[in-house]
Order: sequence, then structure tokens, then C-alpha cells
Amino acid sequence: MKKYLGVLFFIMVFNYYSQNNNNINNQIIYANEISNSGIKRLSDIFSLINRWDSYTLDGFRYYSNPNNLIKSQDWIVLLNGQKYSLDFLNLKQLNALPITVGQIDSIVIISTPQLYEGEYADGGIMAIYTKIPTTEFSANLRYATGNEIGDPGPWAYTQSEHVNVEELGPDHSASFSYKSENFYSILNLISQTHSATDRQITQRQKGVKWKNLGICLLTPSLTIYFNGLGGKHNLFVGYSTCEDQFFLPPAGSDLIFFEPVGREFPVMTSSFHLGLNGNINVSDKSQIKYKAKYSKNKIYETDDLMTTDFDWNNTKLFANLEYLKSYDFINFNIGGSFEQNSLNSKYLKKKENINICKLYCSVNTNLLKDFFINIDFMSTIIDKHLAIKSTFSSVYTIVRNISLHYSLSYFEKLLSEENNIWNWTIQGYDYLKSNSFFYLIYNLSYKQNQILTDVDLNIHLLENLKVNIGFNLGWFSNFYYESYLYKFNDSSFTFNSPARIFGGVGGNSGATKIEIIHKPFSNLEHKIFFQYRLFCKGDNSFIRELKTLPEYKLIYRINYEPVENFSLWTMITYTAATYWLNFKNVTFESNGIYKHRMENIFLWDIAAQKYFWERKIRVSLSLLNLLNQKYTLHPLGAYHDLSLHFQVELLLNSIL
Amino acid sequence: MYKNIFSYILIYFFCLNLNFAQEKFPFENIKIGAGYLYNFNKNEFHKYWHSVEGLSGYLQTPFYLGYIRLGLNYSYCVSIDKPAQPDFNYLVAFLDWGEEFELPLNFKISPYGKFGMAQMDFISPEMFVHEGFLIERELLLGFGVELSHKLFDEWYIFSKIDYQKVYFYPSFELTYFQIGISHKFESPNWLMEFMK
Repeated sequence: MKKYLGVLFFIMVFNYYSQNNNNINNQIIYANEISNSGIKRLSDIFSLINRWDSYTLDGFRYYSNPNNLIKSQDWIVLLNGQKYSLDFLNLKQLNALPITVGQIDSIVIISTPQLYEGEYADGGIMAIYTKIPTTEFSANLRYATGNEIGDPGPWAYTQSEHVNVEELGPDHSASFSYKSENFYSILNLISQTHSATDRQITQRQKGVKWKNLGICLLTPSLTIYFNGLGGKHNLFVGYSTCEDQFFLPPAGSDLIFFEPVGREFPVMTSSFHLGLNGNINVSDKSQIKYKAKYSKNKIYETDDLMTTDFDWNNTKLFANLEYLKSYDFINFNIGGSFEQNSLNSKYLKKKENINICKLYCSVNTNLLKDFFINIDFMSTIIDKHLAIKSTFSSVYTIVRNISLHYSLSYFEKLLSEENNIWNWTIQGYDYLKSNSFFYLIYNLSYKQNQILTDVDLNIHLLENLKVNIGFNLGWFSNFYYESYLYKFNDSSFTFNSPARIFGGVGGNSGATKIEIIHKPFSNLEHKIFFQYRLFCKGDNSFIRELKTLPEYKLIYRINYEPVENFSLWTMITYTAATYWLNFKNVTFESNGIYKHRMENIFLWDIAAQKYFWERKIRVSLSLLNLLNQKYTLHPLGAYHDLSLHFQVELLLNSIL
Repeated sequence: MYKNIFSYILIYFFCLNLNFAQEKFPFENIKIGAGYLYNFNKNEFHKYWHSVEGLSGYLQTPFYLGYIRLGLNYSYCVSIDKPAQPDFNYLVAFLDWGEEFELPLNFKISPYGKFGMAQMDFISPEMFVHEGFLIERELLLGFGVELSHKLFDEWYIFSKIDYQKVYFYPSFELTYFQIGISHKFESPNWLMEFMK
């Protein structure tokens, strides 16, 4: 302990800071790219993230892994600097974030460990920044829908089996904003529906009411921003629910895929977020940043007989304070945060609290010519256990157009930092035993350790041509692995397996990547990204886990805007096969209906966008999977076919 | 004989003005057209339904690249084996994107790609399957080529071959021959402003 405090003191005294440093590994997705790509939901953004490997079962709720070295669902979502809790058991629901894709100004995707906005990105960060209203009063109405092919159509009257009535929407949103010189406010009302009616899913949902296979989310929010009291302040209130609303058609529920039983349950979910953040300028070169939030995420049962009652009421209280100071060549910040993560449930004897204290500091300097150094350090304390997280990064400008970026991170992660079912089961959440789900936990360590290094060479070959080549290596120890050996039940199309959690898993892996961005004309940009996992060694469990991520991935995108109000966009993606050894038996037992090997995927997406009426109306059309490759991203997941997406948006930027 | 035909075709195409039909500004004019369509291919779909004749209407305007055409096709599909399969109204809303090339003798040729939504509205199905199957909609993709001839002023006669793949499962293909007339006129200013 003294040792760590010593390191902290050393860094505080001698060093410096930079917030949001321009790390080459941070991918920034701008509004223009989001709009041109025809994306209509927040969860579609995963398709634009280069380094994150994402997969889904129902096409609405996504798992995502922030780098190709280890599987982790601990990515953090920051909305205008506020940490937004989207956790529902082991899954995050990005679509529960109460903003639309049209409101996004930019997204910073952080895949390598570093300190960012008071959070340490050991599991990746998606930092979303929204647009500021430009006119006094404005209103924005949006309608989006989509259709995946494969409906029976006329064949419903010629064949006995009728499946696939998937609709990707409709989604509606209305947002109203008011802006004055030092103030703005935005009111959002968003509804999203999604049919999880792919045969792969429906055939294990026998007895579930049809309406409950339609996922429906209503997500209102209110933003109030003001500039005053010596700084900037941002209040955000967000809510999501799948309850019926009087002004909307009858809703379905939400579907939670629960790995210990290998199937989805229709459940009701809701989330509430109240957050306040901002900064106060102490002087020209110093600033205090603050954050506070209260959030509550709930999972409760529907009226469906096929549901289960998770009775999950997860509350978080969070406060953060940070001081930033900059000098000519040196910047530093120091901060601390406190989070109380609570679970209330009938499966607990009493309400359980996990108190998480964090102290951190970050320094950067440009003291040496052409050499930029940054050091991040964080200590996390939970219930007398300490974990440290640290990153050293540097940028060396070799010649004017070539720079070398290097980062080395060592970090520890406490089990209690993860907000998943296994952590809470250890804390006493007795859902699994109460519902006769068998599980065993072996040799679980309270702390995981990880060393990651990233090396990137950034070359500006020409004014309009950038090349980035790099590799990353990771060493992992004391991880845990969820092991299943699913048995297929051919009468109910369900899967049973005891859950075995193995602790003490370790290994190492390495990956390389190359990205080329070329802008031959002012209105045309194309990018290519390739990532390849060089090696993966270690315990069997570690290797099994990594095999569920594609060994390599190639993404090529073209964005063409021939005129101001019209754009064309295309993306080609090629990803390697993945192997899900937990489902190995299922391949044989289901006669190949479900497979443990997901084949290589070659996808071609196109989108066109046109503005009308002096940019007051935006229409977007996109065709995803144009070559109609039938693919799935998870052994039990829905098959994705060619799909059409349509959006129309009324942008009344000055309604008075 | 084939050699001669081939030579005539070659000479004809050498005479093509390979520039685009004319210098155009986006949305500067609108072509309105209507035609008769005839489905002539045969496949599994036609074992159950006749989809022989129909009507088509469209609006076409120059776009930043080529032209775009927004239209509707309607046909009535008659069941071969009632009551097992019901009749249905077949409506296709489509968007074509293509380019016009001038040919000699006031002809124009215009290849295009297409996508749209096909809707089947089943009429009083005896064999009630599911309420959700009374109206079925699905994506279609296709392409075609149109040959048009300027008759006088801005009146045209056109014929085209139009191929559509409808992505129900299993998918099926419908190929149409169309013939019709169209008329082109200047776009009103307010419409041009709106479209730009």
C-alpha cells in the first residue's frame, strides 16, 4: 500500500497532465460518417468501430470486445463525460441510451488502456459527445424502419412452415431544443422496436407470447446545459423502459440471453440516470472538473409464463472531482471518485453495497523536443483490496511526417469492479441456486492482472494519405473463464449445461494492425483497416475464449459526397471464422442446425443519403449485406440476411 | 447472316454519341410516364399464380449522377389452384437509378439498377394462415434497360425489359416487358429548390 501511495505521490509532485490527448489508437467517429453510413440505431455503431469485435444474438443487444487480445464486456459508455450505466446482468444495452444517432457529434473509441475523463479504459471506452443546438428553437422528428429479407410472402399459402417475420423497427424520435447565449436544453422522446423472430431464436421460445418476441424500448431524456458560475455545467436525465405506454402501440418486452441456460427470457427492463458534470475555471491554466450521478437499472418479470424473475435492482451512486493544471511544457491532473454499486433483490438476504474508491493522476510533458510523454496512474480500492492501473505512453516524432507511438500498461482489476452475475453471486445474489441452475466456481482470484503494450508507426506519406502500422501484445493472469458444455434438447430446442467458472486462467497474445486513410479528392475518402492476431498462448480456457473472436478482420470503407446534399457510402467487411467450443456438442446433437464454428463472413453494405428543402429533410437508404450472405455471429444467434434500412428526418432548425 | 447483323449492330453503336444524353442539371425537368407491363418468365411462382399483365407509372428526374425514377407497378395475380392459394394484388414501389445515352434517330438507351418494396395483398384467403400473412412485404432488387424514342415535342414512347428479384424465402424472379409513353416538362422552381 505504502509503495503505491509513494508512486502516486511521486507522480503528483513531479508530473503533469493532458486530458483527451490525441492518442493515435483512439478512433474518432464523426457525425458525418454516422449520417452517411445510414446507421439508424446506437447499436449499429459497432459496425463502424475498427478494433472492437462485436456480436449479437438478436440483432439488438450487442456484446463487444475492445481489443483482439482478450474477451471482456467491461467497456464503459460516457455520454458528454457522464458515465452511463447500461448494464443488465452480463449484457449491456447500448440502445437504452436515450439519444439518437442523429444527435451525435463525435464518438471517441478507446481500445488501449489509458485514463480518460476520470475513467481507466481497461475494458475500452466509448465516449459519445452530442451536438449543441445551433438555433434558438429547433425540433427534430425522425422515423426509421428496416426489413430483413426472408419473409414467406406467397409461400405462406403453399408450405406448411412459415418463419421469419423480422422487422428492424420502426423507430420514432422527437427532440426539441432551446438555446440562448449561455444555456441550452434538449428534450428527447425515442421509441425503438425490434422483432427477435428469427427461427434460430423462436424455436427455443415455445410457449412465449408472440408479442414478447418484439423488443420495445421507450427512452426519453432531458439535457440542461448552462455556462456560468465560472464554468460549464451539464445536467442529464435519462430513462428507458419497455412497459406499455398509452400513446404508443402495445409494446413487447425485452429479451435477455442468459448464458447459464443457453436461451433468452422475456423480461421487463428499465434504467434511470440522473447525472451532473461540469467544470469550474480556477485560473487561465487550472480547472476543477466534477461529476455526480445516480442510476438505477432494473430487470423484472413480464406476465409471460415462460419468463423468469431475475429481480435485479442495481443502483449506482457516483461522485468524482478532478483538478487540472497546465504549465508551458507540463500538464497534470489529479482526481478521485467514489462509487457505491448496490444490488437489491429478493435473492439477497439484505441490500448489498460495493464501495469503490479511486484515486488517479495523469501527467504529460513536451519538455524534450519531438518527444511527448504521458503517464497515467489510478488506484482502486474496494473493501480493503487495492488494484493499480498505470500507463506510460510516448510519442516520438522521428521526422516531420513520421511518428512513433508507444504505450505500456500494467493494470489490475478487482472482481468486484465487474457488474456481472458472478460477482453478485459471490456477494450473495442467490438467483441461480433458487432456480436450480447448477454452477461451480473454482479457484477464483479476487484480482486479475494484465500487461499490455502498443506500438504504432504513424506515417503521413502525403498530405492526403495516412498510414498507421502497429502491433500490440498482452500478458494476462488470474483471469476467469465461464465454461459450458451445452447439451442440445431436441424437443424444446434448448441447451443445458452446468456453468463452471475457472479462475487462475492466464496466457498471452499479440495482434498487428494496419490502417490506411486516403482522401484523393476533397469529396472522396476511403479507408482500409486490417487486424490480425499473431499468436495466442496459454491455458486452454484462455485459448478457447480467444477463438470466439475472429483471428483477422478487414474493413474497407468509401465515403463519397459528390455534392453538398448528397452522399454515397459503402463498406466491405471480411472477418475470419470463429470457434465456440462451449457449443461443440451442439453441432452434432442438433444435426447442424446450430453450429459451433461461425464461418468467414464477407459483407458488402451500401448507403445513400439525400437532404431536401435546404437541409430540413434528410432521407437515408441503406442496403446491408448486399450479397445476401447468410451468417450468424453466435452459435445460437439469429441469421442475418440482406436488409433494407430507411430513415427520414425532419430537421427544423429554426421553428420560430 | 449473323455476321451481317453483328456488323450492323457494331456500326450502329459506333454512331453512338457516348456523351451523356445532354448536359443536365439535377431536378431541372420531370418525366412522367405510364405503361403496360407483361410478365414473360416462368418459374416456381408461376406454378401457383398467373402474374401476366399490369400497369406501371413513374416520375423521373435528372440526378447528380444519371437520373432517378420513382414509380409504382401494379398487377393482379390470379391463383391457379383456388382456394388453396388466394389471389392477390401485387404492388411494387421502386426507385431506379440509371443513365441515358443518346442513339441515332432520336433513340435513347438507358440501363438502370433498381430496388424497391413488393407488397402482396391477399384477397379473402380461404386457407387462413395467420393474420400477419394477409399483407406481405419484401425487398426486391433488379435491373433493366429502356429504349425510348422521341415522337414529337417532349413526348416519348418507351419499351423496356425489367428484371426483379423478390427476396421472399425462397426468392423468386419476375421479368417484365413494358411499353408506354412519357412526357417531359420543366420542373417548377419551388420543386427544384425543395429537391436541392
